[in-house]
Amino acid sequence: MNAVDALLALVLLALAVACLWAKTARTGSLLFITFGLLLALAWVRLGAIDVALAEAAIGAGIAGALLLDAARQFEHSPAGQNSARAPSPWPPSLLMLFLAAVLLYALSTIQPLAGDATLAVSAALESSEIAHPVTAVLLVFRAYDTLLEIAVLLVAVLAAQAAPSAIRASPKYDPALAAVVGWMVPIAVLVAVYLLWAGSSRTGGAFQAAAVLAGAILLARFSGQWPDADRLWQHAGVRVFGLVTFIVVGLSGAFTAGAVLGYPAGWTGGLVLGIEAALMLSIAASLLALFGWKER
Amino acid sequence: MSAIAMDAATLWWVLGTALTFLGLGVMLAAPALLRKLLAFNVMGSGVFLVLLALRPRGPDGVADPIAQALVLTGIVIAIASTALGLMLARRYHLATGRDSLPEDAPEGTDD
Repeated sequence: MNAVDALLALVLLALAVACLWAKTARTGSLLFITFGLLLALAWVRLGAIDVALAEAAIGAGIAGALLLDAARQFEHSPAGQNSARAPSPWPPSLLMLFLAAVLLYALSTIQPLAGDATLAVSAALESSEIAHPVTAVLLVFRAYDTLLEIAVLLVAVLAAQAAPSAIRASPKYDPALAAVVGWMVPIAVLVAVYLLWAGSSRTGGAFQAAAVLAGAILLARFSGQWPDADRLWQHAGVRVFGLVTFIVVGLSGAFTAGAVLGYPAGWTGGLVLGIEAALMLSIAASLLALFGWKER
Repeated sequence: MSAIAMDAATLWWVLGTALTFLGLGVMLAAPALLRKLLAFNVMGSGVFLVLLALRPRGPDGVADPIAQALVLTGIVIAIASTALGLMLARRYHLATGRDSLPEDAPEGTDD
């Protein structure tokens, strides 16, 4: 353990406490975004660059924006001040300390797990035709998990749409914001496409790309620019496109590769990139749908 | 070298345990729905840290790709459930003007 890691861990713990005991939901959300960004640094220290990117884009970015958006609604209401109170920490904390001690003891007795699965991944990487191990796990070795994950995301979107509550005023036109957004959105879209493309050989992938893309569209939405483009993303077809593509390619694998969710030899790279591109569009649209939109 | 690597991993799963139970405790004790959702996310981050820190690293210092894939999936599921929870909390707030469930609010302070 070196000093940087220890300091990072301490700051993360302090930020978590500050975020959970913050006076207002807005402060808590802002501290949570900070916590997420520093957690991304911790992922880098752990050697998990893919997770770090996802944490920064989804865990800090999208979750932070969602929480801030909700905090605004709770603050701007006549009854909004009724439980700004911080949680009273005492009743469950002894139980939590006990459980934490039990878990720490259990974890300390675990022998470092032999890296069988890790070795299996690196051994099979050659035959998978995907150079980046995380992408190979997500879309080749454990493609079924990823397929279901997309389905879960769609179910959450459906459930959220059953309770539409996001009622917000149209954004006011702000020339400074519009100018900044005019620069940032094209760059963000470029970053998203790069992350998607890089996913096959380096760190990156559909989820990180989708979060960046969703962020770009949100920026455009909040600045009031390109309302037509924003409307296009609300089409239900965009949200299901990725899952449908994944299922169609997966099923066709039964005929071309002898296994559902298999890929014919020589085609893996292209098919995975195609699936990831479709997933990127759909995940971005789903993340946007989770923010809700104004009924017209 | 391996002893140093072990220690660094230990630091992260100890932090992960602390975050997990900090989050769980606040999620159980806090009355405000938004604070519960914040705590849910902190708890999730703690679980992810434990999950990844327990796996040995590859020879090139890269974290176990399977654990990374699991954590990536976890992050996406966490954002989906957080968003659903926020939607429900906002709907509830619109309908009742409250920001916490009645059974969680101490008497006399909520209304």
